[in-house]
Amino acid sequence: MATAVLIAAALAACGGGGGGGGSTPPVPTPTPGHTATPTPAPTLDPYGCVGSTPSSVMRRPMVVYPTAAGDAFSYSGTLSDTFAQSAPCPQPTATNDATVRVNVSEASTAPPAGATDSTSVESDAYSKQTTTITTRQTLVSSSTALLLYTTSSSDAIGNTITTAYAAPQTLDVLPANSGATWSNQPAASISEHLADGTSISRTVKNDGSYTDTENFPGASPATISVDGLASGKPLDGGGSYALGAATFTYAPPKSGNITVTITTGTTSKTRTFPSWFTVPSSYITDAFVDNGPQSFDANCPTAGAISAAGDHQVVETYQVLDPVLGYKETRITTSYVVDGFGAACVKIDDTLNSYYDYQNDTTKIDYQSQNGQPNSMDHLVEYLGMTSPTSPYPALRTQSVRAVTPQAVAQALAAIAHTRAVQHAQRLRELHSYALHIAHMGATK
Amino acid sequence: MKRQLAALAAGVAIVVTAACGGHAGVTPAPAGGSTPGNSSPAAFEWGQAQLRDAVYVGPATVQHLQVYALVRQQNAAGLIQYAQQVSDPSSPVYRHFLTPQEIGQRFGASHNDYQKAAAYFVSQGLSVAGWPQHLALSVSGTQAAMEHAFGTKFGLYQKNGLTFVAPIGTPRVSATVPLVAVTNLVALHQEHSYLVLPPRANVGSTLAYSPQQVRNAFDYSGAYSRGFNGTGITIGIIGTGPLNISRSSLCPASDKDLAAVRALYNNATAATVCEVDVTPSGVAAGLQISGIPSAAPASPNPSASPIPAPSQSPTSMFPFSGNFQSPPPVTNGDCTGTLPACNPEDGEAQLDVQQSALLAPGATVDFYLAYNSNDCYVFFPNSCATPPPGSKSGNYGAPQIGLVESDPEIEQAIADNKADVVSISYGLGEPQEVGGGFNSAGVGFEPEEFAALATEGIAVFVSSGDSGAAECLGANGYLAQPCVSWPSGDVNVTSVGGVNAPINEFGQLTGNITAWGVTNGGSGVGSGSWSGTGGGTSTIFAAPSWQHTAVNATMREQPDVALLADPYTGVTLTVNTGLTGSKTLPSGPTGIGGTSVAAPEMAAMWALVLQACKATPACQTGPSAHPYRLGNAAPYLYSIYHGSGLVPSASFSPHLPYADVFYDVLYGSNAMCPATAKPGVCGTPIPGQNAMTGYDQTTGVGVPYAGHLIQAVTGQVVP
Repeated sequence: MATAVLIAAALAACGGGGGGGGSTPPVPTPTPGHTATPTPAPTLDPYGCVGSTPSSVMRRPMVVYPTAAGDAFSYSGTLSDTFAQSAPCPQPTATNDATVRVNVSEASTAPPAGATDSTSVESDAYSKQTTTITTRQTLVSSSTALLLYTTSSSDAIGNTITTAYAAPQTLDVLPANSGATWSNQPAASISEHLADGTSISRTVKNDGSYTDTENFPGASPATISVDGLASGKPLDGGGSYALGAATFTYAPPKSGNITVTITTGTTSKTRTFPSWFTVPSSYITDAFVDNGPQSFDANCPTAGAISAAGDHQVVETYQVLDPVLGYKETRITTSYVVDGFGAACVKIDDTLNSYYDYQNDTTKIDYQSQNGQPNSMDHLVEYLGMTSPTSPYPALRTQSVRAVTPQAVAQALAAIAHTRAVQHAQRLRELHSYALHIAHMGATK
Repeated sequence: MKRQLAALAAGVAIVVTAACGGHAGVTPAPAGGSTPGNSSPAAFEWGQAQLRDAVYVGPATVQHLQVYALVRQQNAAGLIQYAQQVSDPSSPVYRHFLTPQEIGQRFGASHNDYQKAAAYFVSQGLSVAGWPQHLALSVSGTQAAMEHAFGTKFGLYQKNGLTFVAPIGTPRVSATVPLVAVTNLVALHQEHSYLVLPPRANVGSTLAYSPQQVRNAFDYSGAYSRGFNGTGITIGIIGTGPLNISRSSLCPASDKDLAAVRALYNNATAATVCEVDVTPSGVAAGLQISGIPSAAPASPNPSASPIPAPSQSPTSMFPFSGNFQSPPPVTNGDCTGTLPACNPEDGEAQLDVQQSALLAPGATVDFYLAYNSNDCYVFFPNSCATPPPGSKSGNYGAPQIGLVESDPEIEQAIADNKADVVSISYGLGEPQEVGGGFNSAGVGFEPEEFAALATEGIAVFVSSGDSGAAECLGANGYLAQPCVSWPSGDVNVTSVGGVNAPINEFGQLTGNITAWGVTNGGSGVGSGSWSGTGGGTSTIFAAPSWQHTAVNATMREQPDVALLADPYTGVTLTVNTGLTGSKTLPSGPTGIGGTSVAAPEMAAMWALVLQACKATPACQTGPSAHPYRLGNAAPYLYSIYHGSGLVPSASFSPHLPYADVFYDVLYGSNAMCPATAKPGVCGTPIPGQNAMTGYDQTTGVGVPYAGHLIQAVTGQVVP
């Protein structure tokens, strides 16, 4: 089997065909939010191959090409989830640890032309149970960038979330170049079909503002509108949630306070509480930087032949502010990219600070922070180390045009993204339920 | 044994005197006539303690009465002891489960005594039902016949806002009638369901946790992935009232509400549901006899149905069946009126069925229901209609038809010996049961019923209550005193408390699991009600050995384990599909909470464990007809908690450590705000228990995860 793989890889690499690996990679249209400063691509040899002989010395900057159908990668590592609550009732901090395995497999797909359908299965084995999330991504790679077009994730109970980006998301700038920075714009259409029959459609604009429509089983549709959308005006930090007779209107922060007006019919009441954010330029930001060669994080679970230092440390900082559901999320992903292996180690640090309680995290529905500090904090830290392949791809694929891309980084991220997405959906459910209650009881009750 | 009975009788006489003298404001009519049976009177426990503080309001004209007669047992204490030993891996009789017939022969009333007692009641023109375990007889008939049989008139009394029937004088029968106790002579039924409506229930929605979420949150889904979904296991539900089913087929029953909730949630899989009615034919099946009329005579005629001669088989000695009937179809979501025209669906019953069926989708759920159209007298004289002044309406005291007949339902479950797991979601304050199911020493026929179930290897899970540390109810809600619930505190059941568990749509935890109480979700916004997980220490029952060893308890402590209960998050319940007239619960889906959620969830989880045991040769070692049964679950849970050292036996050793099986709840309290406190304004709380590291009296040993519970008990590896 190994021999067959080697032969196929070699044929695909140098023969210009087979498995789609030898075809000319598509050159994507530049992404609007793409601010990369890539170095020039290296000169290709007459066969389109990079390098003519295998070498144990990795060249920099490395050239990364797409993976192809049949490629597979595996990661293992750890996940630690810490929850802390300070208000309204301080609770003991709890940590839930898991061991993680991620298996990634690649297949061809279209459209877009030349795309790879990358499927990852992440299993998180906690002490008491194992959960599994499967993610599929449509990726296209060129000599200048690795682009993400769509992401679809599903979990073991059947919640499925599909994101189609308005413009492809740049996951990496190629060839890798120390000091490169780039960012993505978040405009997307998101469709959520949950196991309980709930469906949610969301349209996100480039400033992170969004509108969505929610259909919960047996309940009236509702909408969220976070400002800056329809009118195109700059963000002011407000938004609304509307369900038939009940509307929650969140005013922008003013004089250090936020006021929410709850209206049912002609009756309204307001609540004012300390502001917990300043109005950003965008509710969602996604920025990358290539810090060049860096030693692995001390907690990186490295394996075998993979060195303890990355040729490139790529750091992604993804931030979300939701003024209606009342939370801030900061996700910092640090990837250690090793020539011949790709992302050999990944650290994901995700912090979700909640200022409102629409999930009974504090067990007091609609409890707003009274001091501008989060009521609760959920902190995920995940380390993933590559376990296969165990040898650098160039050694396996003589004169291969292909090497390992860091796309598995995004795969690993997707599982956390799914976790956060279904958490967001649960908050919506609780807000919806609360709105129903308000609508029934009247805003002044 | 004779000495013990004599002592009990002497004690009873004293209590009776005290009780009868303690009727506040009572001027009862004199006890009627001479002792029936033309012999010296026999003293027996009749519930006099429950009359304490009751007010006599006048003579009763209820026309029909029904009581349960505990016949002198051959070895009642032995049954209690055997029940605990049979679930104790260190005992030589570990998993030597008995049949109901064997229970009757070894511990229950002797054939002669059982027949003698039955013969007496039949001779009095009363109708009798019995079961092969020979614990108790169901006796029913006209008020006149009952008064004659017990030598006393009956009157109406009021206590705690309830109007009920009770003897005016001291009931007595001939000393030749071998009775130990008669319950329901004082028809003060304070049992109530343990379900709590969240503040949003009245708007109707599916916004509480879905079955899919719950399945993944506590790893039922992990068990399913290994094929353990309850297949081949039967879960028995002790019914509290009618289900909204088509009466044309009881097995499988067409449960309209279960179908509705399945449809709501993407056709979620669910167990087959069967209704098992305690009817003439049902009792006949339990007695393994045939030829019983399909309907019992309304006024049985002893001459037309002679008592069989002693030489006849003990299983064919009762041609009567009490006055149990096949329940009529439910007619309303809620109603006031008389049976059968007013026969509302019972939300508690539907909740129990839905939770167990949705979480053990391969199992069979047998729903036990005993129905008697005369039962309304229990609540309001001769009617389910408007209660008399001073009576409470609502869940506490509402006509939950099945709940009144829970004892014959349990008797039938014992007799059938078919359910492997039983779920019970009702109860009352333990002290308030004294004089009813047991006496102040904890001796009575209800502990014997649970012992019989455990002796058959049946695991019983019971809700620990919804009033936190104060489970004794009074006229204005729970009383401001520590009080645990019964029957969750029985030593042969597993008590199931409640938690709040914040989870996302995937069922992943997004915060701490906390004990359900007034500090976290226990207050009913807008309703003014306070609620929390029942838990505390018994004042009557000693701790069983497995609890004493594991947590150094001297008296029985509860709960033993905990699952979802907080109504703020709740689970989805669908009721009253297609029905009108709803008052308490809307037609359609709604959120619901209470430890009534937790008990069937735990029963379903244990059904998965038993299926895994059935599939594991090393586990399926019981020498009985049900070798996969494990008896009471609690000893196993405490063994896992304590580690392998709890039970010094090779018969059972946990296959996983405690931390891999249970979530140890560290935060929360079941202290209660005064019942009259307004939402958000607690005042001086009624002291309760706090969650803490290890065992505590709010969540027991913690929250179990199904997959690893299976592995810990059976060795079947579930990732």
